[in-house]
Amino acid sequence: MNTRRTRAAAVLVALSVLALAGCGGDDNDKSSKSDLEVVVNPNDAATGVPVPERRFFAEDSPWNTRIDDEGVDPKSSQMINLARERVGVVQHVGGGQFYRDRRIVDKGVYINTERWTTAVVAGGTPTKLVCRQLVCGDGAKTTVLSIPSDVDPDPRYDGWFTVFDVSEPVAYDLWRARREDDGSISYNYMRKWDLNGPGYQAPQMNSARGSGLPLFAGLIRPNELRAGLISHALAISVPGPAQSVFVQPASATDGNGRVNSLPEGARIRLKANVTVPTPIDPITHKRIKLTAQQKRMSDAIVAALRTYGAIVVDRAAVPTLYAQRDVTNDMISGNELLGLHLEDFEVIKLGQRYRFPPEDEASLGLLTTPSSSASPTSSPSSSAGAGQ
Amino acid sequence: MTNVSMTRRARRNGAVALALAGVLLLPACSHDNNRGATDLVADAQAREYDAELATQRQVQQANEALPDRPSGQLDIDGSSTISLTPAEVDAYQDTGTNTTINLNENGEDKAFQELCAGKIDLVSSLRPISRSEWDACQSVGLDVVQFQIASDAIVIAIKSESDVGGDCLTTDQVQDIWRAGSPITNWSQVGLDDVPLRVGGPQLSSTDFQVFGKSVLGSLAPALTDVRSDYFTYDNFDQARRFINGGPRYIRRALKYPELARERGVFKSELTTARQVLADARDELHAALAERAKGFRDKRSPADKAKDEARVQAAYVARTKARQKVHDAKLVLRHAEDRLGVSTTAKRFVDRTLGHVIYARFSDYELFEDQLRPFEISLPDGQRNCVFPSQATITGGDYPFSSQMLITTTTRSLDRSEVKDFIRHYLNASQAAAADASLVSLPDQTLRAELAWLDGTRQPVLVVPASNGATTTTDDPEASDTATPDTAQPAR
Repeated sequence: MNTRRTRAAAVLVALSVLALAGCGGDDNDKSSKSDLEVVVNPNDAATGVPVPERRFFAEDSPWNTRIDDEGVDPKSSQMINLARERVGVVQHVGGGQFYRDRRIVDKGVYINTERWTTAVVAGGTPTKLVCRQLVCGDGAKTTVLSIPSDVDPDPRYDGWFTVFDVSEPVAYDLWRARREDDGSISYNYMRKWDLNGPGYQAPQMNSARGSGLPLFAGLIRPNELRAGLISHALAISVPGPAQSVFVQPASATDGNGRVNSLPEGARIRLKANVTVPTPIDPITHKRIKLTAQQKRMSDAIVAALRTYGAIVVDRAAVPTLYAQRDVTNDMISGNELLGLHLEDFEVIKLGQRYRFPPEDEASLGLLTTPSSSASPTSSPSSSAGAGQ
Repeated sequence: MTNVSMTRRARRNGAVALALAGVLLLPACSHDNNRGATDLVADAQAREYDAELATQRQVQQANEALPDRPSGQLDIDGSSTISLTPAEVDAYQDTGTNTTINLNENGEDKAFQELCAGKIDLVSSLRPISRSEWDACQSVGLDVVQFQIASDAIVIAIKSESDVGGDCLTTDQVQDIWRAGSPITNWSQVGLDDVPLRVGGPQLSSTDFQVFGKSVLGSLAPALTDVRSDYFTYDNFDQARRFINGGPRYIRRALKYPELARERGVFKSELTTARQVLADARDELHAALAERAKGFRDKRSPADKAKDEARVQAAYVARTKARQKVHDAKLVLRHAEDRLGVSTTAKRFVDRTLGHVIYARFSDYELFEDQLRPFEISLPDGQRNCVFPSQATITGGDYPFSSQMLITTTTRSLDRSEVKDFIRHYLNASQAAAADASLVSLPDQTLRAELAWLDGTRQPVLVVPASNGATTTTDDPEASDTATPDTAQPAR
């Protein structure tokens, strides 16, 4: 059914210099077409000295602020250690019952470039979007978006898909999306994001990620690699983020680690004295030889991890960074930073901790016995970036 | 207990008297000029009130005719399939309570009948009260309250990181895929990709099979004859994982395939190189031998002959070394091919598991979520609503294959201290008991709300099943101003 997975002509989005700087002005600007610039093929677009892509979200967004001089949380080491714990499943000797087991993950930082990362598209042909639930987050008001016909979500990896609307600076994150036979895209959940907004939501709001954060925020993008300059925080997933607790900019959590572990939304940065060792192949246990390009590009990522840090967005088997799907795997292979480990990071002082789900008195009455509500999965937010 | 009942009856009588007074006052208040129309309306209203009063009198009489509940005794009936109730009854009795609890297992239908006849206090069930059962309760003036104890769900899943061309199945499709005599052997038959389909699940004796048989296949007494004959059964989830994705050992081996294929290529290339070196060494030896023979024929000087001989000896050494290298390279290649063969077999085995589908209880899915890819499930009728199995959608009852473990009682029974004490004990133990039984525990806030109903700090929510089978509840006033949380919690 879904065999048209041509990725060669994947589309990436670059924001022009004026795109974000010019938004947020008067209301008249909002009706005019934005300055979003769409580069159809990064290879074709690369002429002369590469220019890094513009940043998403407002300048004061947590994604866009430097943290290299921020204070370290007093419990930084403890949180980092607990974040390395992965909840596993073990069967009792002789079969029978399984029980949860916690194991320390000592693997290095991996960069997803194909599997379990987000495709970002813009432009293309008007494509019908079909919500498979009665209500799919922000999907009610968005039934058609321009999407390239040759780039599809990959259902094998939860169908993460981000669509930029070039007519106004917004992006749509889709979860469990799939290209159907008729060319439409069906999905289970949508969240709309204002590219001029803060890049996060009010506490207790969900998104296509368990942390409530945008799928595309903190992605390593192709022109950033090409230019060797990443000027925003990166998204990172860790093996055991805290359960039931998050800090902003996260607005929810799917963490399953210990409560005192690193919460989703926490910001971590590379320690100042860390040098990146040569990566070792986990299968062959041999040193991985990096090309000059790989070294240059991984230097840029390491610099970003030091200056802007990384925001914990999800849980994953190993510490994981995310590069834009389809358009970065010919630049980096993903194993460049295997020499880096979570212990090489420190946690920036945490803000207020929120419980998830909330336990405030108002939510006590929310009920209990089976409800006939038409859509328990509906979202109260139909606007972009419900944020602050 | 009798005093409490009398008090309630007195309240009810007072309400009836007030309603009667209202009816009598209505005509006196109407002094409109348009007498004809007003009279008609007033007559209709009066008839309506009369009918309502008559109904209320009947309800009141029926309520008064209900048998009194014996003090110090608690009667429970219902289903014991995946029920925490029997164990909690035992645990409660062990606390030294003076209350005697009679627990029967006459099934849910009978239990709800008994509840609405005022003969028992609690129904332990896996389903909410139906509209007709609720009507029966209402007809004798009994309001119904349901306490959720825990939840469970059946998850339909294929292996993680695989795709059969769709994300959502209807309950009917799932039933069709598993039922006895099912002709479905390919996912294309349910509108998805052309991928062979094989179904699996636990053995007949397992609780999972019983839950699946009842909640998915609609069987009253699940048996192996309810499922297709090529149904793959497994004893434990380790076997299930082998069925659905090949199992960790095969996966590990299959994952090595690209590296081993590359390694085999490298060793093959090294063998080719070694063979070339051997061929060159042989050529050199032939050349050296020919040169030495020519030296003899040409009667070269002893020094030149010595050089020719040295060249021959060196060529022999080089050929021997080259032969050894070829031999070694062959061995290395053979070992690499053996490893690749194992990996290839594993890869084929793993690849053949594409399209295998199992059902699992939600607790198993949670344990192995990194290895399973669940389907969203939709009801077959009405607008498509594909619901992903999650804690929220299961606890809320929105996921079609979810079931709620409920304790149903009436406000009449809830006035009894014996009932309240037992339910309080049950609720307080429910989270740990649910976890032990691999069920979905109550969320903290739900538990606190239900306990508040018992403490009297919050009015209990009355159940009102809709005629279409859906269940509604009376509003909790403190909940009404609160925005419904965005419960569609996407999972990894």
